Amino acid sequence: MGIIKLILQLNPYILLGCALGIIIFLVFYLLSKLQKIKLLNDNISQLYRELQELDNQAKLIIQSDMELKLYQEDVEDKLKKLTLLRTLISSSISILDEEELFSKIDEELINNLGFKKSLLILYPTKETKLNINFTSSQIEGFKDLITHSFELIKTSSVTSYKTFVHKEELKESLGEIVNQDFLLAPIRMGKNIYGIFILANCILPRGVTAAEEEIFYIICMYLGQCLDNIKLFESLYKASEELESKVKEKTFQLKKSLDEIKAISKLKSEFISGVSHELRTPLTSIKGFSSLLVAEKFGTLPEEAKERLKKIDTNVDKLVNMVNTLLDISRIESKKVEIKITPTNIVKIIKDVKDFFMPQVNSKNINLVLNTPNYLDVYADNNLIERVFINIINNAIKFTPQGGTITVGCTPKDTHALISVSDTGCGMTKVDCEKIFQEFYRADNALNKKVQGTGLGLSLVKKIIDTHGENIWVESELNKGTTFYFTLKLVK
Amino acid sequence: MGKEKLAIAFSQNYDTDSAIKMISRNIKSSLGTQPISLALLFFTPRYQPMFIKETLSITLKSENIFAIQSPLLIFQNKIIKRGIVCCCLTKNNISVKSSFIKKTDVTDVEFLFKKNIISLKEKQRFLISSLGPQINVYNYLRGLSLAVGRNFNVFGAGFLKKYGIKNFLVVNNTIEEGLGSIILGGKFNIDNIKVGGFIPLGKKFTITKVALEKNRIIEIDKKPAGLIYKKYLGDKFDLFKKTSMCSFYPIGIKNNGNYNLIHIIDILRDDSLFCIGNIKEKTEAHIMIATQETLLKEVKNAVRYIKNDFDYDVAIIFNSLARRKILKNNADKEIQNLKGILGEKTKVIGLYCDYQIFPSDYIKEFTIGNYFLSMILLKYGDY
Repeated sequence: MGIIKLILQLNPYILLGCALGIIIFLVFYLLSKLQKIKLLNDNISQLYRELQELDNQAKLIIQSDMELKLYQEDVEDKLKKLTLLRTLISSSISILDEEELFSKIDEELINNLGFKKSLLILYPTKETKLNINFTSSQIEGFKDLITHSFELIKTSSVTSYKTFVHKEELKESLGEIVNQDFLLAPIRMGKNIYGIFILANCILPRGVTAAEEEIFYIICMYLGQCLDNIKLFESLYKASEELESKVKEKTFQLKKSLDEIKAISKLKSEFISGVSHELRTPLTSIKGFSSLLVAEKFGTLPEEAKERLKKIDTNVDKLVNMVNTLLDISRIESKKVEIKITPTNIVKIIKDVKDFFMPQVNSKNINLVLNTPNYLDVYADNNLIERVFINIINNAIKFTPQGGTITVGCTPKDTHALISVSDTGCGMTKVDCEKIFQEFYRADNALNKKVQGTGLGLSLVKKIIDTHGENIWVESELNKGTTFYFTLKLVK
Repeated sequence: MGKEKLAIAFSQNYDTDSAIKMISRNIKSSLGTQPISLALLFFTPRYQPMFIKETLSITLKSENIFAIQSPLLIFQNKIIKRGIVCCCLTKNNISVKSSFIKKTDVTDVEFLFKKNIISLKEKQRFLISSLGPQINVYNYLRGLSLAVGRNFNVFGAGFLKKYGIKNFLVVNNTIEEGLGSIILGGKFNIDNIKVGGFIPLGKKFTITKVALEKNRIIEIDKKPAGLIYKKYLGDKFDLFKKTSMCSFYPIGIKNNGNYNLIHIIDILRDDSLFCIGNIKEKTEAHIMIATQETLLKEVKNAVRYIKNDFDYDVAIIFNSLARRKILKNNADKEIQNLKGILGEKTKVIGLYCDYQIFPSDYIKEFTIGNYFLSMILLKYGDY
């Protein structure tokens, strides 16, 4: 109260001044507060804008992150499908049975492809080859659909359910399957349609895309290829079975014929051996007496009788020679001769045979040339190979005209020695060359008719070389000469 | 040999019988003739649960068999796509109670767990459940809370319905799909971690309306819930819905500084969000995002923190299939890192599931997560 009284007692001008001062202070105070409020509002607006900006950035982050994740999922899905395809191919590429091939199309594979159901309807029989999770009424629906739209399905690689849903005429056949997303594709076997493969009820979140259609198309193509292979294999197998049975039949016939030939050959050998043996005893006796008679050991004979006896003696010699050769062949064939194949110096045998034939060679004025190294060891039966040389060189002397040349050669070649006996005689035709080693075969030429022989010598030679497991052959040209070749294994 | 208290084994043999025989041989070579209290098995589909039970009851003669089927398993530092993993605990001061029910009514669950808990007198106890696709998680959690209170170590692996695959359980003589549980009591030290790695993105929002079953968010900020995604995705929202990408962007509910992640299974036609979990109204949330790097980093940090120079005997992991979807090829790296930090002495087994149940450290109740790596760490002894 005292202060109020004091104020009232003051000059009214002072009072007015004080009031004005207070008012001015309050105005300034208010202004400063308003300034602060404005500043705070600005700050709030700034923060709000920043928050909005951050929220906008969050939008960008989520959108980019989602796109990246979708892209990654897509890549992973494609990779997964490629792996699936690789697994399917690797597990079925060598399958050659239809049932086994389709056993690979199981529920797991269909799920991994992104579908729940699958169906394979054969064409044109419309049998159900494969069914995963379809009901019988749904199967009938697809069969109807295939009947109505076969031309469309046949010409397309993959047909999607979208193709059918708007077709009024198919509404009835689609029936239960109308609400399912499915893919249809033909499996081609050669030029024909084997069946229609169906995938349905896509379980992928993004639904059926071009990737699913593409992989389905590849699988259908692959199955068609496998079916082609199976068909090819089956026809090849059938052909090979037929061939095998024919070969078996022919082999049996040949074996039978061979057995018969062997039996006949054995009989022949036994017969020849028996007859030859039986002939040799009286022949020895005949030869003995004929020789004694020709030598006039039983007294002088009239010239005419002596002449006839000489012919008898010569022919007995031939007969004895023939019987001996026949006996040798027969012994070799029946393996009665003991063959001793040992390391032998072939050059020494050749030289011994040359010495043996020198009187004959000289008398016929033939040049017998040896073209051999000093020493060459081969595996051979000494006596039998000597016989080979005697027979071949004897033949050569017979067919080589006076002044001609006989060359005996011997050269090592890889693991074998190649031995040759060439002459400059009349030669043979190709037909003769092929038959020359047959028993009793004699080449049909004028000279041969003059030259005496049994036709058994070369047959014996062939049998001896065969016994050694080696080869013998002849090369000849008419009027130029003949060369006999044979091989013997070299001693290492 | 024969002195271990627990042993783990693994087999990839194609046929169930020979796989179980191989596992049994390996377990016996570690445990010798000691009686086995629990055989805990995880197995991938295509192994026959019937043969698992029959062969195991002959070879190991374990008092309790608890086997869970899962699409992917964990053994030491590897993710297993086909095989059987087994962990056997000896009777060394361990008590086990197992149970199975086919359908979850709240009172059934409450009764079942109460009965089992009462019969276990040990101080240290924990529970492992496997929840099949037909199990109502909300009923399970309510029944469980009523039976054991909220301060109990509960771990679980939950599975959603997947095309063509059943989630079988073997609980002693029962082979079914349903809810199987084991409660373990005894002298051991038990720790657990749940590892996330998601970060919040954009403005926070409020869940304003939730369905009665607590598994469907109807409104966010008083608008249809799905629109929250539309706000961020614009015209890409339809593609987002069609491709089920929502599983990559969970909703994170902040809880004492941590985010609990809600897996959005689907955006329904009315734009409500269908999810697993016990969602409450008026909670503030964010859209969450993770990269492979944030997930891997979080595992390293969390496991290093819990390890802290301590060697556990065994680590049982319930990992998230959704998490693996984000990690892709780095999922193996996650397990390798984890095993590397835990060290040689700690045996690691585990499985992948659609969601996990674990105790929350902050609010002392059980929570459901879909993107977590949940791990139980055990050490035998009196602590």
